Amino acid sequence: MLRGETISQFYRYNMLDGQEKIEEESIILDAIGGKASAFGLLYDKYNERIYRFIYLKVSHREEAEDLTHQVFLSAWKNIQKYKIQGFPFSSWLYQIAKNQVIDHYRTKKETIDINDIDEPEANNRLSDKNFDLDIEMAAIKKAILKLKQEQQDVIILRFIDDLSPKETALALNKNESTIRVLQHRAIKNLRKIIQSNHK
Amino acid sequence: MDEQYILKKLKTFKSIKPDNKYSEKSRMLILSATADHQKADFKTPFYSFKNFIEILRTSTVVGFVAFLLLFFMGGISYINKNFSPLGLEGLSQKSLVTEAEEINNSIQITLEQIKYLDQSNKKTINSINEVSNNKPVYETSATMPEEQSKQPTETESMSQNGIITNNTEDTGNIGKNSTSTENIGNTESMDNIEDFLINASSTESNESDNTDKLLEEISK
Repeated sequence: MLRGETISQFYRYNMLDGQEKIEEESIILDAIGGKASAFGLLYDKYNERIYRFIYLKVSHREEAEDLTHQVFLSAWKNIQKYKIQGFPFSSWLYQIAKNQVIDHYRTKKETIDINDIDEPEANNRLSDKNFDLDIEMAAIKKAILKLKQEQQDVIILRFIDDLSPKETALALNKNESTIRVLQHRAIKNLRKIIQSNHK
Repeated sequence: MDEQYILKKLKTFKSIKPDNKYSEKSRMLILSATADHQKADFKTPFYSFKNFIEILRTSTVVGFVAFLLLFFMGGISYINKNFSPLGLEGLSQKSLVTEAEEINNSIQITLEQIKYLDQSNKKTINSINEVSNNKPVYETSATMPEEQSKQPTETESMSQNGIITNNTEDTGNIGKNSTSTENIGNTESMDNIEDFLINASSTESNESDNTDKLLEEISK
């Protein structure tokens, strides 16, 4: 069975949040029970999001791949500790990803100048056609990295992964009001950084 | 640059995706890893029973393999003991040494017997030679009948013995009787010598027979 078919089967082309939640819960229960195929479905669903979240924070493709692998490996090994409390499974994965990035920066001895970020490779992921767009995107990416960690997280979860404030709050283990404040400050600071870079 | 423009640009970051090969490899590695809850959990009765079955199966296989190994090793030692040329009793070192010593001792005894017989044989021959040198007339019994014919008759022997005497002629014979007495002594000594020679020859023949028998035994 192809991966695409498993994902479609997982979603069953059902756009209702409630139905999707019930299906996800049953899959999570199977994964907690030790069913590797169930966790495989969860991996297929959240792999891109977690990778994107980590990539925008470390700006290095190989490091992002390694850290993403560590996130899911840790999740699978500790799946028994996960308790279904009505929160999305992605929130738990984002928390693990955030901690992995923090640990990565702690253990990382070499420091890379933000100006030395691998821009051409990042640009390949975005677009090969519009060169101006690539330049803009590279500038925005640089600006994001200059934000604080909490503001980066909010920017990525809210405006790139399209999570709701509630989901973002759960993922970052904060209140919704805190998330809204962080969101506002993050956008404001991002705008300043981009304008200063243009100057 | 307003916020809407920035938010619009942020949406384009959604195209960031991981490499497909990396994703597949990572997925395979993660799912092949054993989750902590799959380790021994003795709180779950079903899992402990399942674990017990697994342990039982493994131990059965190990026990069977061990039994086969012992069986083959025992068979090899049995074959080596009974059918191997190295396992023959006669070829064991101790028995070989003992047997060699026994043979050596028997040979020594036989040699000593031969030596003894040889010496006795020589003595016998020497004695026979001595006897033959002293009285050559009565060497063999073949000459005995001739001597018997030459022996005097009874009357003659009696007159010789001095029992019957004639007249004066007989007186003359008195002197002759003394010589007959000597003849009587000579006859007795001849008989003794004959007996001795017969006995010596029989002894010699017996000893030679014994020697031949011993030689045959040695040759065997």
